[in-house]
Amino acid sequence: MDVLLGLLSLSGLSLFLARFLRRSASLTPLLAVALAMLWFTLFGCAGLLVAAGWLWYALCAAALVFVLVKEKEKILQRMTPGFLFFVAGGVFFVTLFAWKQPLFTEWDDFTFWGTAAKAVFEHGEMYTTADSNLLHRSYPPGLIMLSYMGQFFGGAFAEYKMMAAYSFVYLAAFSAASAFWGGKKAAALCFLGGLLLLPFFFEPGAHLGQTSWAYHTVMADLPMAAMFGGILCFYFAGGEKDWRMLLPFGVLLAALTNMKDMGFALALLALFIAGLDLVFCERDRLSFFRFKGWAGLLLAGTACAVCVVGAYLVWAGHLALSPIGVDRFNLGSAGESLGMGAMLLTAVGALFGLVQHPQYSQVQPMMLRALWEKPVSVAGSGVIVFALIGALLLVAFLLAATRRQRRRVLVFFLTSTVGFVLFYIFQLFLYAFIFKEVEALILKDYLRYISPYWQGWLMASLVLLGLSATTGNEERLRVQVARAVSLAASGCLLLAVALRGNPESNFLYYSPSHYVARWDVKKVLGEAGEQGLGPGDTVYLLSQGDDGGRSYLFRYEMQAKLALQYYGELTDEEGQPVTEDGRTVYRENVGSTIVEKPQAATWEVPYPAAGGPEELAAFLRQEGCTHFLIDRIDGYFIEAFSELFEDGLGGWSDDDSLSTGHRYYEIVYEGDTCRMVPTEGGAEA
Amino acid sequence: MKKQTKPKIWLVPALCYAAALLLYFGVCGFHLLADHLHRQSGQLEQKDLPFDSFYAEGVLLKDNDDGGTDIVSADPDPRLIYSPGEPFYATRFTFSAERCNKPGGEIVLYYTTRPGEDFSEQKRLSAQLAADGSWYFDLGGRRVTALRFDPDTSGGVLWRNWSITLNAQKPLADYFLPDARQVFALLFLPALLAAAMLEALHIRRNYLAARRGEGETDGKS
Repeated sequence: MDVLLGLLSLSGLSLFLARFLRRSASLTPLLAVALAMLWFTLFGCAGLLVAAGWLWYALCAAALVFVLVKEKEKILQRMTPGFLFFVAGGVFFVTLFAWKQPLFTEWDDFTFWGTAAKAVFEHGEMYTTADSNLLHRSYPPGLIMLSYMGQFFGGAFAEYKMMAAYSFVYLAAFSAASAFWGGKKAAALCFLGGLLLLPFFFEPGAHLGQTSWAYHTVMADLPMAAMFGGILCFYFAGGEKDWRMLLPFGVLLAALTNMKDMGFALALLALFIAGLDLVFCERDRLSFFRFKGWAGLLLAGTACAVCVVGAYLVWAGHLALSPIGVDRFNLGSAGESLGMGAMLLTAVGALFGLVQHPQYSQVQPMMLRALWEKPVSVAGSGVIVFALIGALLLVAFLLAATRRQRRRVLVFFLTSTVGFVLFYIFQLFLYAFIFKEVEALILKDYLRYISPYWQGWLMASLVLLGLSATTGNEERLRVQVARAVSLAASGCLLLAVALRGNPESNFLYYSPSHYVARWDVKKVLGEAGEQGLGPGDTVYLLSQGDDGGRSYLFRYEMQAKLALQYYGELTDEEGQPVTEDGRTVYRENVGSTIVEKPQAATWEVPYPAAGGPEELAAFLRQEGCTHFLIDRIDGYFIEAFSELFEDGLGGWSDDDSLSTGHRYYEIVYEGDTCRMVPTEGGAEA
Repeated sequence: MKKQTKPKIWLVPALCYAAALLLYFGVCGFHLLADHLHRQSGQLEQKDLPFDSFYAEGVLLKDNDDGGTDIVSADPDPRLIYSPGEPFYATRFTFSAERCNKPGGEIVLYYTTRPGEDFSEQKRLSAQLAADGSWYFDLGGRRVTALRFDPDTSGGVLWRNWSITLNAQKPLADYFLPDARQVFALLFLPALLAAAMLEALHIRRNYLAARRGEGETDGKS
């Protein structure tokens, strides 16, 4: 199976890198995953994605053959518990998802992540240039590229394969965290078992019936959390701080930056934490190529910073040069666009009370209260997780074998706490200046945005505790106590998840009733296909009652071009239509409902006023629509628009029952209006 | 002279896996036997539940043109509550319909095991799809006091020619075939338990040695 080939390529590259960098093979799967994401991103930005795939597999095959030939039977010694966990875990996830065939069901799977991955696969090019129905295209491509790598040899895009590819990120991160155990198999396995359950620890709503999304979502937050934690663990468990560790560290930071916009912030914080550890704990013995001490430190720090900033700028440059022409430095919020510099000035001013900003004033106390009121884990709120982390680090400090190790733990506690404060302030700025007011005032998706830092923080703390358990021979009693505490921590994680998890809705057990909407859309498209829907059509979708969710499903499934939805004209303050270059500007929206009564657009009711048949016909003409697809209809639409339809919309019932009429119409433009002509037969969608 | 411990080490995971499999099939066999005995004694009879056997909240019954009946959810939180008064054994709760007018989101079943108990998220089952297109919930032969069936989470969903069956015969294979959760547990938990036991033994051995002031044994376990 193609995804297993992807796993094989990562495994082969991991073994090669372990030999080349003279590091544990537990560390290198994370580097291999990072290199895969960056490799395909760079080539994808240059329009050479398919070539990148062939070259990737050829080089990884060569790397695997090289290391097998050079190492021969010694290769088995390289296979650390972490590496074997990565490979076996990868096989497990691929097999599991091939068996269960999970589908995308979340909103963001269709607004971007899944749709982008499908577009890249089907068109063999970056989603910024691919002619697909994807609307939003500016998120960084790291994970999309990983999915492409995993499915490179596949015949058709498969959603489960994308989830399987994502699992490589988690497994690689946990493998890196276990590197310090060396050959202590039992201890490493207990540690890895605990880490595997760690994502469930950050699902406080699971025992209240909320679906556990760990391991079966294609949104970026969970793999980004694992990558952030994996990078910190790579640093602390990575052994000697020379170029073989520090340069790969920079590569990992670049990969994190390339996973999601938030990755940039997390990468800078990881660099901050590692940088200060180098200053206070490694300055006397680090080396970066031939440079030691401050020179080596500054050079390594600069190289890593270049990796982070470079990754950010590469994507920004691609966005600016691509057909979508997005300015990554323009941080738009609802209704206003703000340059990055201006936003920063306003934000810092508000933080220090120099600038009054209404939304900031409302959000700031909410964010402070959230630290002890909003649960972020099964153990409770952020304050409780901080206490747990503090307890682990205290034990690590007290049981550290050397002064350097004790200093390391202390420095990490301080830098990671400062890092959290900075990250939290950054989140506060996002809610205050970027989010729409209605979203900011409920701290929308608070857990999703905050938990990556908590998870990485906890992972690194467990590693520092583990380092106390594996360094030094003199203080043997301390070592065994530290090992016992580490074992107990894994046990506590298992207990917490067993007691507070959701056994009925998770990556192992997910009701197919969630997929009924997906099957329904496929059925409608199948019927439309029988009535003529084809890839070259530009389709207007009507789905009365849709708030956007259903039209995004069509956007994902449809091979033909799906037009933007009509929501009435955009008007200025005097109520006059707005035009641009002679074209009427329509209000943007993505739901496919045409409503009767004029309404102000709000969060609850996103539909503004709609016009009658002539206005709709003008919109269809302007958007170049060739066909009209009816998904769902209601009494209002039948009454108000049936005159446009040659068959008068006969066959459709206005009571939303089980009857269905003709699905697919060709639009014939006549003067200022148009006529919808029922299609017959044709290629399927 | 140190004992040769290596041969014993692989026994630990082997025994853990063996114990896990024994436990699993033992529990499966117990459920099969219990259901069989309950059926023999008439405590587990299959019955079709008509609409009036439920207390309906937000669900309406309608006659249709086919001579059958439809149920329609009148609000986004429709519930059909079955509470016959006496506790009863339940294996399967099956819901089927000819078709529905639109997707309604997740289909769930809540149950209670004590009289007067409120329905809760901790006692909630998610619907699985049978080969014939019906939705079913596996209650595992437990003794329950009430069931609450939520056919959708959106409202306005119509099910044509519906039926609900309690305690339909469960296929023999379903008693023994593990689902993905059980497969994961059978693969993962024995290995974790074995590792934890070995690690605990190692820690104890070294801890005692450390207290006696002896050298730490070889760190590899």
